[in-house]
Amino acid sequence: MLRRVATRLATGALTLVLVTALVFALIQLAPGSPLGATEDGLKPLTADERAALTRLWRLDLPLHRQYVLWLGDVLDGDLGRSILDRRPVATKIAERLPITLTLNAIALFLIVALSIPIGAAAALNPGSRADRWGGVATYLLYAVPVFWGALLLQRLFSVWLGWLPLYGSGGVEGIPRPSHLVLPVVCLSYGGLAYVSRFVRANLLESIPAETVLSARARGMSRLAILYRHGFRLAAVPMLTLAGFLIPALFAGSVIVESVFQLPGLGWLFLEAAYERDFPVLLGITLISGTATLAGILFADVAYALADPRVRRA
Amino acid sequence: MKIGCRVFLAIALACLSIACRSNQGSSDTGASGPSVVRMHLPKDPASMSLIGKTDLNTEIVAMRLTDALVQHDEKLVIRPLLAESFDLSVENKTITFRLRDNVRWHDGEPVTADDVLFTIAKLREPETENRSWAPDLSALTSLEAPDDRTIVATYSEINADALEAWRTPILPEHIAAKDADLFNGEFARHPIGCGPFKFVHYIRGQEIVMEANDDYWGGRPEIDRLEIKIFSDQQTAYQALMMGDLDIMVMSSNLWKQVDESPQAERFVRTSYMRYSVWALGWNQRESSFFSDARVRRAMVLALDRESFIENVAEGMAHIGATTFPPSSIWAAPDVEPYGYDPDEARRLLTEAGWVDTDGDGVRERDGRRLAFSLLVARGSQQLTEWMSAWQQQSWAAIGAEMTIDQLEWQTHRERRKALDFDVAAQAFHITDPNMTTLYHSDSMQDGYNFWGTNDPEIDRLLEAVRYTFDPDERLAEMHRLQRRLHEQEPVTALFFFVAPLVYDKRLEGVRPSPLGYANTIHGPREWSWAQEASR
Repeated sequence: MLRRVATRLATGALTLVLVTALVFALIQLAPGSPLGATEDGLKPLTADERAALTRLWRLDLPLHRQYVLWLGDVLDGDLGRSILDRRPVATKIAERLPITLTLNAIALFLIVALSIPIGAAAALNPGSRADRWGGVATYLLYAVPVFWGALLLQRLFSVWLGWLPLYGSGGVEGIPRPSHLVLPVVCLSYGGLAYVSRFVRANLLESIPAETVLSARARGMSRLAILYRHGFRLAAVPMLTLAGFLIPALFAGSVIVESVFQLPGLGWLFLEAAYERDFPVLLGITLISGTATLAGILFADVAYALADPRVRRA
Repeated sequence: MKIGCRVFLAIALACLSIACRSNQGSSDTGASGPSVVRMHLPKDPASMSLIGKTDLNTEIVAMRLTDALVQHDEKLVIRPLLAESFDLSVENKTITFRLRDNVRWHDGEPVTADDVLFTIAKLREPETENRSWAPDLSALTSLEAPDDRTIVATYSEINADALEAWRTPILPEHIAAKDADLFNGEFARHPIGCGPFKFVHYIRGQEIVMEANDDYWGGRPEIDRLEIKIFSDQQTAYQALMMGDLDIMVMSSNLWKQVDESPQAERFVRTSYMRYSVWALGWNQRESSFFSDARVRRAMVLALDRESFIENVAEGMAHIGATTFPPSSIWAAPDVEPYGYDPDEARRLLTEAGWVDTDGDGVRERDGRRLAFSLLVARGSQQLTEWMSAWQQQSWAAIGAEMTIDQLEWQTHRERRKALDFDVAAQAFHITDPNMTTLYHSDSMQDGYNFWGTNDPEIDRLLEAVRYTFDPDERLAEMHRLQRRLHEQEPVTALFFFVAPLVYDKRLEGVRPSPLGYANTIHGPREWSWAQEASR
């Protein structure tokens, strides 16, 4: 078990290096430069200024040298400074991380907590009217793009009904007030909810053959008890894997949700940095979200082993 | 399904009840509370250091918190502000400023000439990366303060726009000098100035809150509090306006129309002002380009029915430009009229320039080369950009020119222009002064924005004349001459000057939009007030 985790950690670190190297190369090879972003609509940079800035941001070095230097700084605990406002990248990320973490943690919890009962309820009576309509509803939900869903929810709950705030964190720095989290969390989770509940339903149905249900029913077990006894343990395995993969999907959703709801989290920062070619910030966020993703997968892996003795022994 | 439903409902209800409760806490303060105006800002300022990495948003914030020696009025004439007078001496190459007496920083310390010296020194440090004013101070050789209220700036070379750079916001030396790092120091966390508003707090991505400065030398602002609300998403900002969370904003023309159709239309003033922001086509004039011949450039403009485009597509929200000098500005030459719509003349000019359709495919040729080129345009959020491109494509097809649209992301667009890899490029320019050297001077091909390769000795001469003529009347005459030459040569076509649709609460008084915006002149929020019984 320990060896397994150690191997995973090693490959994880290697993956992170590769991912950041790839992102680094992509940013630098993309047209446009951070120097261009600094002179937008203003007076052009003189040759001297351009040279000074190029040196400052190490743009004069070959790509691999730039990357190695960046990596060295990161190992020393320095993520560098933002090109946009010269503030330390670590500070910028630390300021915004709580918002994104809160949003995603709640969304992840809601997805898991709600999709299991919903999926199970559908699996209890496959083919029933409730199951079929539930299926239609979840597919519809899955198909609604987040930016549009967000707009509809804003119109309904903020503008017409006036129940929920439209935007922002409610005048506080860091984690928004609870009321300000409701709509963003709903937007962030409904797609995953729809997807995972279908997944749960399919898995439960697959893992409990109809004969098992029949014989268990004959022994006098309730449908719920059958699901609980026979279904969940088996279905839990693929579920865990899925939960690990939800993390990057949620982060991607954060980018949209945060900018629509005006929540200054990591997703918004990422978008802003991408427009400005602020590569130290982009790399810093990639590193963080990459680590989170790998940690999620590692967690899923370990949980997988705990839930399934076959994996543990292998 | 039942279990799922119940759990879901329970959670949803719990969330809603929390939401409703906390919502009440932050509701309106009512008529008896302080008077607050909430204005929109589309983006966080680059920094709160007021002079570092300045962009338009930084300037809007900085102008509230602190004063500059001079500032634009609504006609873009430079007026004294923190300086009570200034004197530009051409023969000595100096500007002498006399500071107002008894102006104090928000912490009570007096504003002195040393603060100005400090600010300018800081501004010129490369680390400050100031792009707004520092470049105009490159010819500054010395800056001295003979006494507490006098500043003498000496230049190695002085031009008629030298005062522009003195719109720099002034920083308090006794506070800002303590920070080794301007961007991350104490000052940038809690900026102190001498302007009409005092800094209260800033929540990134949310709001910048300021309160009236009781001791402002020009008199305390009428309103008690100014809240600058940051909305990067226009839709959200619009909804905020509808809900009364925002009092004034510039919006896109579709949203502007929506305001009129909304049930709350009567709550707002819906107006617009012409910005000195021009949507321009820059023609690549280098040898071997399609557009090295001025006749071809003029033909392209003559083929465009701009009036009907404004009426039918832009819904009247634009003005036609003759040159990049804004129409109805104090600089505009009255005798330079924009080219009208005349496709026959356009065809004649093309034929005269040697472009004839010999093979009957609808596209003209010359020396075996088809008149087929591409328009470089940046992908924007504005649908209008796409409509403009399509309209140009059609209009030019009608005179025998084939145009393809090369729509690129903004950074790529810039790189292509820089690499001179284009035929004609569309982009917006923001005009703040009549000095257009960086756009047209042949020396600006290297270090400026003359991507089109305009290389006309007459234009160069006139640009310099505008730059170095100090007598206002003579200078204006040179500007008019320059416009005539530009109109004849048409190196850049000033297609449209767009109008900014502005919406604000109709009880808000004292809003004076100018081509620079509604908050970028010596006027702005400091003169705003709520109509009687409307304070909020």
